[in-house]
Amino acid sequence: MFKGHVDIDHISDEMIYRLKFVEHVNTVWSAGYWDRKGVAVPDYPYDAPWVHQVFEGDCPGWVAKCKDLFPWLQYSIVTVNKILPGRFIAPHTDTLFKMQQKVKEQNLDVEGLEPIRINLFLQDRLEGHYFEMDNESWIDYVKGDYTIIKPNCVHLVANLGYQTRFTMQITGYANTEDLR
Amino acid sequence: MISYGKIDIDVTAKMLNDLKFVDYFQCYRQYDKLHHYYTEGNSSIWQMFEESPQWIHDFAKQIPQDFDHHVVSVIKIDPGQTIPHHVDKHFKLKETHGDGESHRYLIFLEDWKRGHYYEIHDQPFTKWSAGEWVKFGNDDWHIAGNMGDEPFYSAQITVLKNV
Repeated sequence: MFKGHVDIDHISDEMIYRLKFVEHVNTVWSAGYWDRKGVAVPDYPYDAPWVHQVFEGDCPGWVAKCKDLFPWLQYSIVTVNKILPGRFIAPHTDTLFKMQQKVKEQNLDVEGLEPIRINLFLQDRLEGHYFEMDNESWIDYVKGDYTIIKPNCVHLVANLGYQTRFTMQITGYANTEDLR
Repeated sequence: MISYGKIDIDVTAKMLNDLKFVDYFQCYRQYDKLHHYYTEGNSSIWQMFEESPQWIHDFAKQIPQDFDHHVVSVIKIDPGQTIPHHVDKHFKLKETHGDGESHRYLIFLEDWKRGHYYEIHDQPFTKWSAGEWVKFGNDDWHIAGNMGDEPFYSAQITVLKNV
């Protein structure tokens, strides 16, 4: 798992908590992950596999400005995820649907570029907060740490604690050279 | 003090599937912050106690023999369920056998699977192999959960040393 860090000390907890989350998504289908794996969709309790999301167009300017932290990422778009205690995003691979849509709508030239997602932690790891990718856990991240999620990487995130968990996803296209 | 170790176990999927759980209950929520988020729906587990099969009872012979009394149980956490932050007080053991120093051995019955989670004192513990155990006391806060697609099985041997 790639592990990097950027300075986001200018983002306070208050700024994060003030975000208005516009979508509440049930993740039980895991974007077809279970289907592709050939297993039954887990019988998760209805209340468990949920994430709140907000996209950059619905956010204050500081959210979109986080894209500047990753100047090597092209055409990027930003999402913030909020996971309440007792909730999780079940194992899945990212389809990067909104990114693909943007490429198509704006006829962007992505030849030779690789689509990726940056998962940026907006808080130090708190009790019960969990990130797992390709069967590896990241158990000691701090605010500003990030990892790169490629489209075929199975990952899951969870909040089994008692405090809300916030992360930012910056999705775009990168040069293979830059990714190295 | 928390300690870790491993015993030799050979638990098959059939042995786990054959376990006949009867008790299904909502986990205790030991402080107010947990009440809002953890409900019967997302924090309920299966558990069996002394009626556990002999092979579970036999695990008690393999852990360090520094105790006078013990009880056993098996827990099955279904996908999507969480045992929220809590401490175990070992009431039953002390009620039966008197006061003393008590500890719990949590024994993982299968190799770690995606989405299976255990955390003690704010330290996540994952990627275990079958037979690994964690020994902890009655003031050690911990969490367990299952965000995967297969049940998460563990055995508990709770031990008491009379003082």
